[in-house]
Amino acid sequence: MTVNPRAGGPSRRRFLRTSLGAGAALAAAPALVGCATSQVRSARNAGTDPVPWPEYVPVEGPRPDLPPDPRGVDAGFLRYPDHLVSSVPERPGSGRETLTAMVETYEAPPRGPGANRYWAALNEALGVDLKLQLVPSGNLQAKIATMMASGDMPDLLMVRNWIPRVADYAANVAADLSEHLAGPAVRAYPNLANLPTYAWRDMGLMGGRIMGVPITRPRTGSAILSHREELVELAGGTYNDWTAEEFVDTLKRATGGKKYGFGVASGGWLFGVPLLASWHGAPNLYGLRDGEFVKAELTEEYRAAVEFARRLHQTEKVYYPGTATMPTETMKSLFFNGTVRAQLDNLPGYQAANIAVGDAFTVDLLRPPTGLGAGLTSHFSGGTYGYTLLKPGPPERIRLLLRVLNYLAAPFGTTEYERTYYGVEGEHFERVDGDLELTELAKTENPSTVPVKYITAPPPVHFYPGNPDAVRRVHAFQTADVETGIPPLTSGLVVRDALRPYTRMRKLFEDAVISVVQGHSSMKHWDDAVRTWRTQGGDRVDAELAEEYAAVNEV
Amino acid sequence: MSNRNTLLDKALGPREHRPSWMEKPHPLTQAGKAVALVVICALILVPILVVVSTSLASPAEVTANGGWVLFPTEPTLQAYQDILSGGTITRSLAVSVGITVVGTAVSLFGTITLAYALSREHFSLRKPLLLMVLFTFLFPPGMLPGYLVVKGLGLLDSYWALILPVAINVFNLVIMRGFFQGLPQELYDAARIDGAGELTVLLRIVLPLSKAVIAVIGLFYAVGYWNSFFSAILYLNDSSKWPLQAVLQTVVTKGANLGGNTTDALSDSGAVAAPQTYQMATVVVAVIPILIIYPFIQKYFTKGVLTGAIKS
Amino acid sequence: MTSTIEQAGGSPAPSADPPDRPPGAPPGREPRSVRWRRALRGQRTLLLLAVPGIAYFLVFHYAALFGNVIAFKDFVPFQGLWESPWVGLDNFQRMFEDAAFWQAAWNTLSIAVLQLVFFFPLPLALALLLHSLARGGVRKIIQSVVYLPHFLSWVIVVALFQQLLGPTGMFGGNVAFVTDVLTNPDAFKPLMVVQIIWKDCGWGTIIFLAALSQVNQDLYESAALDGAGPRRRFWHVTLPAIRPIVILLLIMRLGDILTVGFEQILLQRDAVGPEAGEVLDTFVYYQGVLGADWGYSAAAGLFKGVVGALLVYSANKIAHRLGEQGVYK
Repeated sequence: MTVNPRAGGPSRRRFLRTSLGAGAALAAAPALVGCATSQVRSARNAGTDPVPWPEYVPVEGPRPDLPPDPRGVDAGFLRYPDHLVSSVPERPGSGRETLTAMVETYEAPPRGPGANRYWAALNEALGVDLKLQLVPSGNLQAKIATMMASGDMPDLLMVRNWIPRVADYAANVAADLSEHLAGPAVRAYPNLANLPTYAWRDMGLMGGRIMGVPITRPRTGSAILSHREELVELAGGTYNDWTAEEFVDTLKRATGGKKYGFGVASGGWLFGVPLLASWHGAPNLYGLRDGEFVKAELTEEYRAAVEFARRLHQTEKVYYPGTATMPTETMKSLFFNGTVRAQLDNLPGYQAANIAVGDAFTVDLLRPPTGLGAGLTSHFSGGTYGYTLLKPGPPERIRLLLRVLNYLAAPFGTTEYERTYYGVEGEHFERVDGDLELTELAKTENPSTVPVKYITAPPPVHFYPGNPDAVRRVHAFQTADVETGIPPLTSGLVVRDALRPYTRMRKLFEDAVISVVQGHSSMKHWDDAVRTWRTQGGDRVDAELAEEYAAVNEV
Repeated sequence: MSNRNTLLDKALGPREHRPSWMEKPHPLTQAGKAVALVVICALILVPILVVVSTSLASPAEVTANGGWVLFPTEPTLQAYQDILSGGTITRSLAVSVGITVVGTAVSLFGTITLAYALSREHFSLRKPLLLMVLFTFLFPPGMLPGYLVVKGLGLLDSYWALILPVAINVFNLVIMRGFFQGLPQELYDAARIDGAGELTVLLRIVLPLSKAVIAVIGLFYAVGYWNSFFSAILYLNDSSKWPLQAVLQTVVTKGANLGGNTTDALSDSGAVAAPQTYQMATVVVAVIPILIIYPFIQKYFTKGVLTGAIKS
Repeated sequence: MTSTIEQAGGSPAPSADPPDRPPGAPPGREPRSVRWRRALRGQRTLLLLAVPGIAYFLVFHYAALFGNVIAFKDFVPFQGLWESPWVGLDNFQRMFEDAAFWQAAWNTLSIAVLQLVFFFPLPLALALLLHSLARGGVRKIIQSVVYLPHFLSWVIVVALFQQLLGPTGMFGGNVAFVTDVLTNPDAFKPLMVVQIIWKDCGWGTIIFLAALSQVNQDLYESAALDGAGPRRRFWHVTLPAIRPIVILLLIMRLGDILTVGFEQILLQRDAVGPEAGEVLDTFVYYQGVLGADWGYSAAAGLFKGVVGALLVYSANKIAHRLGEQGVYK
């Protein structure tokens, strides 16, 4: 490992990259066939000389009513700022360029720019003709996998961290952005320099290089939404300042007469065990203990959380019945209509709930109880939605793409943010008494239907027009939460060789949690799962992650 | 010719009344049948009613009921308006209809011709070709190789990419062939004595007698084309070319995501009040065309297509 | 490919078709190739009719079939199909050595057998029931009703069952027996069969109704005149007439026996865990698809194909013994 790992790297990589980028991957120019196998670059960072993270230089904008904390509290705005600033002095494009971008979408496809005021205005502001290739979220993995294999790459390609082998793809095929973004170089794109470091880290380095631009999201992980009025009454003064027993008592009192204390949907929510584990002081996915890299599920704290959930389910019976098969949307409905008094969700879920519930009751966020296990931690999420890769090209082209990304990353309170997130004044929104009101047209023409918010995104803020109290509540929650917050240790780490056992092994623990909590099997089943992990390749995953972690963090 | 006309007339004439030779059914049997059918219909219709009602209910009502409505208090078409208001709907509807019509025609053509050739006992290549076809049933090509073939043929971003790769379904082909083989051998013999060629036999004898199976297989193909969305998402980069189901797919995945990524898919789906209404509305939209087509197909299911075919 | 279609469209044009050689014509002693050519001469029309279909299978199946070589490779997507490194039987070895794989195979087989026994005959029974209805109008309405569930996606079907049988559902909350039916591992397999019966029984009648409509009515009449009652007419007229189609469907189902409702089971397996709920397709999904272990997925696909081929071959043999056509002869 003392050999200079980068010797000969770039040129070889460039050769491969351009060949592949040109679609030769499958047409298979004979010359390439023989040697390509040995020339695939690993995306791993261990053994490389990683470039520095982009510097963090905040953009000066309107002063928020509630201050942000770069550790993980998002700025709160109680009303829309009166005076906006501009963060992009020049149009990114000349108006002649065409640019393709593949992005995930959750909405029906919009009208094209010819019949879409929002899209047309955005194109005008960007100075490019933005052509979007939309992929419905359910089909993202399949579409990206075929695209990777077919050698076609759009100018901008949105990917998610969990898409298998995507880091290898990025390392081998995408444009290397290190010289444009690493360290102080990022200052040429002020809005990208304004992205929090946690977002860059969650995207990670590939082969020691910066290969993409992150799509920033809040750092707060999952949280329990509550029916504030009812729970305050049931908790009798201990609300949000409770010990574990008081918390359990409250949920018990909240259960009965066709109402239920705790609602968790099926799928990855796992009866809330990951959240309960953070209350018990378990590591966030992985932990460093006495210099050892430890998987959360293997710790005593995590085991205690499984046992705690089992007690809530089997003894106290506070879960809404049928949790293991409950569709997410049904569970949300049950919370909105008051059947379930506390529901496990995440930060975007909080905003959605506030809108859906309206004045019926106050949606609050529960503070974790004290007195469990090794003491409270709160587990941050990675803080990105995914990241965007750029198609290799001449430096001028790369700079154009980065200027477009810089525009789309303009933060709240800038004219660029307003154009990207709210559209055109008078068409998509009106200013009414200093606040913002979206028009009917904004329902079909917005950054979700024209999904540019999945290309890159500025640091999140809390701004719910017409509901300043909801902003105060979530800001207060984050302010308390950040004190015990720990990031996922594996954020942005690449485990190429270990990825395969990992996929199945993750299922191993998920299956065990569901079985044990529901009472289908005893805690012994959990211990067996832990043993299986250790004996069937999980150790290798852990070791690789530890190596990667060391490589990325020596920067 | 006159023979054939009689045959056709008989084939098309539905016979709904009990023929003279048939016994009067036993009242107990009749009652038993009636009970069975009522139970079956109830088991099906109640959940279907839930689907239709939920699609017509207001999001607020759906939420208040915990996700479902049996009888909406204030029926509204809001969900339909919303899912159909994306702006590309009119076009996507036209695309869907076009693909279904052209696709079904192409499929039926390919299936009938091949099934007929493979049903003829004396066709020397019958067995090897049949085995070759069956082999593909057992070893379907993967998604990626399929993509590469489509790309290699230059069909990306073309509507043909939604039709040609799925033009013939082995299952349908085998069924069609089975029906052709089930036709009385006497018909073929009679045709041969008349000196009719294969094409004449196919067009003038086999096809008219196989209306039922052609209707069925045509329905299978049409439903397949109408409901398919994934090939559009895979092969058409320009979403303004998408058929209706691909557009609706975005609505459906919003609420319910398959597999392990449920939580992070939902974390960004934003403020959606009651996707159930939308999901149910998409179901109804998907079924309506079938409801329209089906009666036309149903008439070929009447009893006794072959009545008197041989005698005459 | 468009050109193939055009060509195909033009092919069955009027052809000077020589009368067919009688089936029993002496093959003579010519060399094989000559014999073939001679045999095919009288079959030009049939050959032309087969061309478009065969071209389709060659282009879209056989060309793509080569993609299955990745079962013997460590497929790296951006390296492409041919450049990815060969790994021999490694993918198969990993698969066969995995106890979880065999557990999934066992679950798959159990569900498939349950389906064959309890689901497969039902559409036929329902079709016979519908067919026996004298009143055409009633029959048409019921026919239209029973195929509706086919068009609900599994997501919705599963949600409907949840609504009905879930612990707070219509029955689940009140009838002790069903309280945990959705999360009880022992109830999982029967539940899967019940769901598919609800969803596809009606749709399955369509083929049988078409087959029943082709039964020669004269046979009924003459059987009745010979004094055969309804039951005997059923055994001696109806059943023999539709038997070939039933056997055809059965054999095709056997070829697909290791496929049992991927989406349906993926949505519900978590609640009961892999011991009861993992089937081959979901196993491969977690191992191969989510992990982009494409070679592994392809290996599993080949395995399923080989098992299906063996079953089709055997079933077809048995069908021939019983004097049936089967799928091929």
